[in-house]
Amino acid sequence: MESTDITNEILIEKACKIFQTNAEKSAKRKLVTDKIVKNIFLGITVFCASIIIIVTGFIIVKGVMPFIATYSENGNTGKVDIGYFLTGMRFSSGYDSDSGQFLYGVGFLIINTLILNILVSIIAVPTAILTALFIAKIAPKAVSKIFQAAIDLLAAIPSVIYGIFGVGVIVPLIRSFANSIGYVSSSGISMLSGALVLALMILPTIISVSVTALNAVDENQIKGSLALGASKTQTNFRISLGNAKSGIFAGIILGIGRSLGEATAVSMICGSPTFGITINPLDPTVTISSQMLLAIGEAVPGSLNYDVRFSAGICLMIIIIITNLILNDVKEHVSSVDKKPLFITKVFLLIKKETLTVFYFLKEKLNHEKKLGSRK
Amino acid sequence: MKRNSDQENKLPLKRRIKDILASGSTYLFSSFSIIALVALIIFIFSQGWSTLSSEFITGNYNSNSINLVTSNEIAPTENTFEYKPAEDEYFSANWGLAFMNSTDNEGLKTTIISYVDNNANINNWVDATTGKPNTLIKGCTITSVILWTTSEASTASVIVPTMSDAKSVCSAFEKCSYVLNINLATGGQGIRGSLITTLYMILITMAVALPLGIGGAIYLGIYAKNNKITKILRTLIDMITGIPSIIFGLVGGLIFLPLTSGSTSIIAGSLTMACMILPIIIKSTEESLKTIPHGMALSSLALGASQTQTTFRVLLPNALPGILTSALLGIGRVIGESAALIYTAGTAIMDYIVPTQGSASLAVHIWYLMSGEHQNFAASCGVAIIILAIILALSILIKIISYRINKTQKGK
Amino acid sequence: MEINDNIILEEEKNIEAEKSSIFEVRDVNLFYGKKQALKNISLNIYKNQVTALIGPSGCGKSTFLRCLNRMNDLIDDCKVTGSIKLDGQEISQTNTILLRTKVGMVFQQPNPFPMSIYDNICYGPRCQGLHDKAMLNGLVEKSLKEAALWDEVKDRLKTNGLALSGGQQQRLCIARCLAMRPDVILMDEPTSALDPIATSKIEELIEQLKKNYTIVIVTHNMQQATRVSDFTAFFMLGEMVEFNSTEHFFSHPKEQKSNDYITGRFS
Repeated sequence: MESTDITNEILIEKACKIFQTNAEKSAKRKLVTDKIVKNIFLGITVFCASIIIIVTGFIIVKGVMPFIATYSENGNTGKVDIGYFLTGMRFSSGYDSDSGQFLYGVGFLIINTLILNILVSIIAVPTAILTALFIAKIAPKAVSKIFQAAIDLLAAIPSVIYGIFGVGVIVPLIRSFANSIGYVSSSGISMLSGALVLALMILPTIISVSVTALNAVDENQIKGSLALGASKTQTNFRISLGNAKSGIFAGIILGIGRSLGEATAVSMICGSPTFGITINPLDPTVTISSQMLLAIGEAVPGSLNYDVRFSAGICLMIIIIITNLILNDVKEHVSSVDKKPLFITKVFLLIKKETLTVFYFLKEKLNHEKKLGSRK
Repeated sequence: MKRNSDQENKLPLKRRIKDILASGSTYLFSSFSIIALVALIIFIFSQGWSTLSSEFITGNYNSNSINLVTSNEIAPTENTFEYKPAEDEYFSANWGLAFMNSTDNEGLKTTIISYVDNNANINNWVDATTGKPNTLIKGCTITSVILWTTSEASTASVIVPTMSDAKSVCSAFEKCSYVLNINLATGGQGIRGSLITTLYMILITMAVALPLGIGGAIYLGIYAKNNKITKILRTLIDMITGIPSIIFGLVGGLIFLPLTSGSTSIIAGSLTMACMILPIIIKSTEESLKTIPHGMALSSLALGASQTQTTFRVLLPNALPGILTSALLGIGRVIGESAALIYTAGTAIMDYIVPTQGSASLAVHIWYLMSGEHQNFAASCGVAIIILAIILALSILIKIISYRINKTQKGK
Repeated sequence: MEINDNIILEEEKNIEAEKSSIFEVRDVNLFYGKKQALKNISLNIYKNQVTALIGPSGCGKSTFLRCLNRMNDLIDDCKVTGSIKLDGQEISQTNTILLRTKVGMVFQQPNPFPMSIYDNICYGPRCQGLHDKAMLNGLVEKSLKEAALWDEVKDRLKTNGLALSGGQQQRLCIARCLAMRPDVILMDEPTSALDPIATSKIEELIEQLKKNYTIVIVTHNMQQATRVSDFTAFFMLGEMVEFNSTEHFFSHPKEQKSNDYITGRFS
């Protein structure tokens, strides 16, 4: 025993010497390596963060080109008329020889996109909130867990598959519905079908976020409400939904963001009319994103047709950003304790105040001059 | 004062009605959602189940063509054949072949050979490429056929049937006495090409996105201080999730297509997808790094390990479950993406995949089948079932990993 | 400056002349941003002695402990002024990695790495480039024996370190620290997360370890300080109120505040 102890000791002495000299030799190098490694990771992070700047930059640069650079297509040269672009009712209107400008319009696309998405919201939001309420508060625990797992799975289904379902089931349904109310020529390819399918697509997203929010509502609040004599239904609506407002709204913002940017399913289901605003839900419609997908095979990079899609892309990004800002503002207003005023309300009040100030100032001046006048 | 017992036991009518309306609408809307979502799954499965087969999964999309020629040595038989054709079959007694109508990939009408008698002459015809007879004729589509009225070239006139009509083909065969050659097409509609494309895309996307994403997560989770710059970096990375995929497709096309001299390619599609899934990987890995107790990193440093050694020997191995989860989530995204890939990897369905060429992934394959004039539901739903199966498997894996993580966390 | 030297002179009168200082701390001030957490700390840590740092919570004893192996460098916005010398060398000039191979630390929460017991102990030496199996085996055995854990785990060295009980995990952490053969071991409330039996085992351990190592232990338990330490420094509100041998500190505290703390006026 002792001899092994002693050989152990010698071994350990050796070991210590080795790693201590190693430590001394390598310590400086290690600190330098640390710095280099840190900077490499920093570089990677900066690169990742710059992706959005690069994407935005490219879209803006390429999207602005049709308005400032001259293109030559089919014997015509010129730029794209920005006025028509923003208000036009037809995407590809050709060439205006008088002003020497190409006519591409996305005005109608913007309006169509907004109308479609408002329709989607009307369908999806109440359905999602009530379904979430059902899953979180009314269904028995085991059933609720199964539903939640199922909803999570459904949120991961790609949009093309929703597109197949739309074309195969919803479109024929709408066709027979349209025929039955006398709209005989409808093929079912319509804004209503698109809205239904898009609503279906964003349901799982909104539901899963809302269920999380509803489950996080404090039990004590619910018990308090029930103890005061409120029925279960009243408690569900007034207390649970009320408390989960901010989470539910976050889910809605996510869902609407997804539906604004959706391209493949919309192009499969809503058709591709080339002009005009769609107001009748039973008519086909085209949004900015589905327009960008149309005739993709024929668009040659560098041509005006290709570049003008980037311009449409800018419009899409602007719409998404504005929608997000407005919805976030409403979310703050709805979920803050002291009812923070909406940005729009603030702007409105500001305008009102300024107008009144100017009005009174002018009135005073007018009175003053009258007095002066009457003295003379 | 006596209280009216009726008033005590019943709630006021108005309130009851309100309650019923509220809970009624809840049940109504919930059932709408649930029914609709269940209908989706049922539809996909019912339409696509029948198309699933090993040929579907492993076969080529484009058909193989077989060119059969008669030779002078083989004399046309004098026999007439007997066969009882089914409702939609047309039987040629002279040749022992039955024909039936069918549709091809694009949804166009075609004629297929639905029955070949064992003694039929066609079994002896020689395959132009192999020089040997080809007996796998049943089920093949006839793409073209040269039928002569007599066996002498000088005296024969050519009978031209309508290839898309089985009845016409059958009667043309009956009238003719000599078949010069016949072109058949077999197979096709297979999704092997798209499957392999999707696999390539997953591999390349992960190879690019994982290192970048993990690197970003390491910086944000370990090295970064809580100052404004870090907040800005995080916000910029989060904002990537808000950009619609079609915009990524446009810009990805702009930046990456020139890499393969202007044409679409799998590489361009993968690089674009890598940019799109970066936030997912960074977020998931960072979450995982956050759950590691800070004491572990401190212990490592207190033992004289450098920060780099600590990161790679202690922190990353513990964050492995989170990294795996992020990879699985990324794969799910790659499989489901269509708009961005349409722009960057193209919509051509290929059989032999080269990463520098464009090819359709599974989701784009569906888009292609559904956006033509004739929509092929059966095939699209078949592909959809495969996609759904993969997504289901990924989700289960993710749940298992999260469960394992929770167990070890609570065990500690 | 004068006052500090006087304090130290006084201490040295109470201490036998043979004891040498391994750490010499003079006028250390520490700031977290604008907030000052340590004010003018000066003391000596003596070789092969156990020095206990005691005081009410938030008084800065753990912060001071962390100064001794420069773990405070890892905290954002933390500034340290003053002089801390290890064996005559200013530690703010020393390479931190090197410093930490000489000054080890055991934390309050036992946190063995999620690796085998063997790998846990070899972690430090391996990071310094020692890979020889025989040497590592010897180190593992020696460290576990010194930490009084060898008999309990010698036949399951390859099992995961997290499978051990709380007390065993803490001894594993001590063994892991010992594998680096440091000169000083810093212990930050090592037994506050453990049950009484485990606590007493570790206190016995400390008694054994001081033969070969210098130990500085932060504890909020005064009785523990009396049991294990040779010297005691009493901290309060970032200042070191009194430093003396444990015997003298607890029997004849010089400052009123020390007396108040010992008699439990505040804790």
